[in-house]
Amino acid sequence: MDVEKDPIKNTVQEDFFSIEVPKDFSERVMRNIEVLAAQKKVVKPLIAKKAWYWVIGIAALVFVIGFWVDIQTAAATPIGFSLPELSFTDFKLSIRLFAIISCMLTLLTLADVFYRRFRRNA
Amino acid sequence: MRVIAESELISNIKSGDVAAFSQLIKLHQKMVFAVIYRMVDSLEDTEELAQDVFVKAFKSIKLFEGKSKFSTWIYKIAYFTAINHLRKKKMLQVPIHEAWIADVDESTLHTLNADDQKYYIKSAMKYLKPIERELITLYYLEELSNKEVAEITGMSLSNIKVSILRIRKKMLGILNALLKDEAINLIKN
Repeated sequence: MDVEKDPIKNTVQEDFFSIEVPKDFSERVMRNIEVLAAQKKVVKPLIAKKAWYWVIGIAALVFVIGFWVDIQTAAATPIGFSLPELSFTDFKLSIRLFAIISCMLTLLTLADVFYRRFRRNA
Repeated sequence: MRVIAESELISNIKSGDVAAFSQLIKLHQKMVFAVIYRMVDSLEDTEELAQDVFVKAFKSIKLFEGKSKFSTWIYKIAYFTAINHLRKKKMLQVPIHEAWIADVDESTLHTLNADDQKYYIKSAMKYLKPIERELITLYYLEELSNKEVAEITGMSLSNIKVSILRIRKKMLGILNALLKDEAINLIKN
């Protein structure tokens, strides 16, 4: 196809810039942008501070209860001093529970951090 | 020279110089307007969408890493902003008439004089789908390379070339139909 004599190409090129941009267009856009830039960026956290206290409180309680139950079922020693019955299975369960709770807290923290960062960049 | 100035402008904006953005607007407003107008075909909507495009670009300028040209990046925003607008208004589809897809060649076009050619080509373009209209326009623009057109539209180069051939064929079909209608009207009158 002879490019120079291609009427479709020529017309398309000629017609493309036929639209006129209003003279005050950039000023109007800048007004919007300045308003946008002036707005104080308030980043609402994904998880509220109060909710964090609750989560940490419940996690600590679950952890303590896990050991406290063990202590309650401890056997008495001949000297009358109670020691917790250190059942290895119970201990393993408590550690596992603690690990699960720690993972949950880590995930929540990461989600919160990423959310804040994403919102700030958006 | 212009590339350096533009990259400096961008880094200034990224570090908080909001006013520098007005220069970027002035550099690209004409092209952004043209890209949008080609698709939405309404001056009012074009103005509104062009404003949206620049606001979006400002908001996400920190994400612009300079891997492509800034112009390609902003035209891509303009292209998809126009597509979303048309999608919302359900204007992406245009009815197809059988006459338009008939087997035609370019000989009819060459029988017309230059002014008539322009008139009929412009008329035929109005019957194309907005995306087809945009694609053929971007493809023929000397300001953009084929690679840039591919980046803006998200299509592969081979896909673009096939689409251009198909759009040209469709345009010629429309042109023939328009000329035929006109001939019939002349006979009737």
